[in-house]
Amino acid sequence: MASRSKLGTAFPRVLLRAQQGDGNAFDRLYRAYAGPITGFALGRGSSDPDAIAQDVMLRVFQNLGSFKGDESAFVAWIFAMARNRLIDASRMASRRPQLADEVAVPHGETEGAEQVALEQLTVQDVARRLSILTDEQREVIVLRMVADLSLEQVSEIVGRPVSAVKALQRRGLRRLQKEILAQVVS
Amino acid sequence: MMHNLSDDELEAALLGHHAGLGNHPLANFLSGATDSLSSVEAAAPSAALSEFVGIRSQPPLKQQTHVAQRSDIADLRPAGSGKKRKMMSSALAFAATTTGKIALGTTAAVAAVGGAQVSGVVDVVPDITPSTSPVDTSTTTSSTVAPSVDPLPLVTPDTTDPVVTSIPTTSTTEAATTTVVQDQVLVVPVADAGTVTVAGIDGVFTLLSADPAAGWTVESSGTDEDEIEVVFTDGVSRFKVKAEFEYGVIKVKIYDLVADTETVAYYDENGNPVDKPVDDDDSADHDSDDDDEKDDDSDHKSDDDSDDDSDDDDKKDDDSDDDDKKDDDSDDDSEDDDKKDDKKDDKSDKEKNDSDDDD
Repeated sequence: MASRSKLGTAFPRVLLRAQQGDGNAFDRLYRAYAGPITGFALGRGSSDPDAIAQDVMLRVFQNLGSFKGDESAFVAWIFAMARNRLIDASRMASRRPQLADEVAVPHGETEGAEQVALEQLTVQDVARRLSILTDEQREVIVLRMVADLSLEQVSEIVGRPVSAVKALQRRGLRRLQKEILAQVVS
Repeated sequence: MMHNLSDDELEAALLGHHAGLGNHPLANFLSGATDSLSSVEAAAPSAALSEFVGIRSQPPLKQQTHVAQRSDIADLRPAGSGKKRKMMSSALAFAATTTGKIALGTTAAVAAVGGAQVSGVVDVVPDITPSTSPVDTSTTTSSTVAPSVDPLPLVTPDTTDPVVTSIPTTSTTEAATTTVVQDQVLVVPVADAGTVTVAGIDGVFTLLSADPAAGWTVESSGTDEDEIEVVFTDGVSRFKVKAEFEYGVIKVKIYDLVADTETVAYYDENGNPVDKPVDDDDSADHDSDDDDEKDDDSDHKSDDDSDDDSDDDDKKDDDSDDDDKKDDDSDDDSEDDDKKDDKKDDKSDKEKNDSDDDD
């Protein structure tokens, strides 16, 4: 599984240089985190994940000077912003169910056959599979998958107690398990 | 390996720890999904982002001491009393320093905005981001779709939001190529309702903005002597925040008007949390974690707050459709979330039928 720690030991140095206005450092941060934010938005069923990611990264850069913490805290911070942007976007748009064929496909992505084996899943497959969950369940699971956040960090981001987050995760995973096993059996 | 995974195994599968899970389809899906979503290639930076990076890619600027001018700030405070003037010395210190600290507010508020803060204090570096929006210190009314509040360090207003949190200055001593040196402000998160931004400028304790979160509106806002008061509501809950300088510190009270609880926090002139002053004789002040928990719980009545993680309750859960309704009744979770799950079950079944038809 791909490492979710994008910059690792280089993070403090990159952060400091970006806070000092180093364009290369900005570029490194963008390349490290804009993709996962896009993936998070896709997993959440966003119809315009690229716009969400752009908006989040701009806000991150605008407020970067006042951030203080390690990479884990940074990831929690930017994904909290991503969550807020998704909430804003969903409130602005008319509410309707995300059907499988309406899931946004990011640029460069090609459609693939639906499968549950160990081969590479397309983003569209993943989003379609996750769409059976409630918004709250999907949010918790995608945050843990993409951002590699702890239950406590997710709890702070979504504003719910840890016990509620655990329950949402458990219910969501069981729902996925039921769906996947049913498909395998059939 | 086709058995249902236990809760521990589900957690392990989600985190990518597949030892002992064999080739379980759910574990395989989660692994593939994580790789897929984490490896999405981002689009090229937008024009706005590129422009911002281009502006910021400048040699580091030396910090300059700056005292804000009042020309753009409406003085909402009537002529203060002598006692209050003395208390304003803290505000003068607060406004005079170029680099300050932004406190994160009460425990309940911190829980609402999420996880970047470690000690609850974040350094503020003077921002050179240009600010062209006028400062709005009048009563604020929000649109029906209010933007969500980003977690601290700073809240960046939505482009449609007329309220800003920076203070533009008219000083001409700044270099021509720079724009604005931002005075530090105290941004107070108010549970899930939004934030209130206050500042001490030239001895005046000023409400800069009241920014409601999504779904919330500002019911009222204003100043009285040296006290600032804002009320947020979402139609069900109501929070009032009062901020004032008192006994040399900034005192912030947040009232949950529905639950009839309050929390109080104190900050020094640099925005650092401090203990309650000895002279503060407000007997109703309290800052217990119990009240913060109560605030959180009252905001999320439909959550799985009362979920019991005991093995007995877990074993009662059954994944079959017929048994789900029975489990909903016997589960400790609220009915609202259970109904959502049922609706999702129905929806997924319908979609499954539709996709089968399409195939």
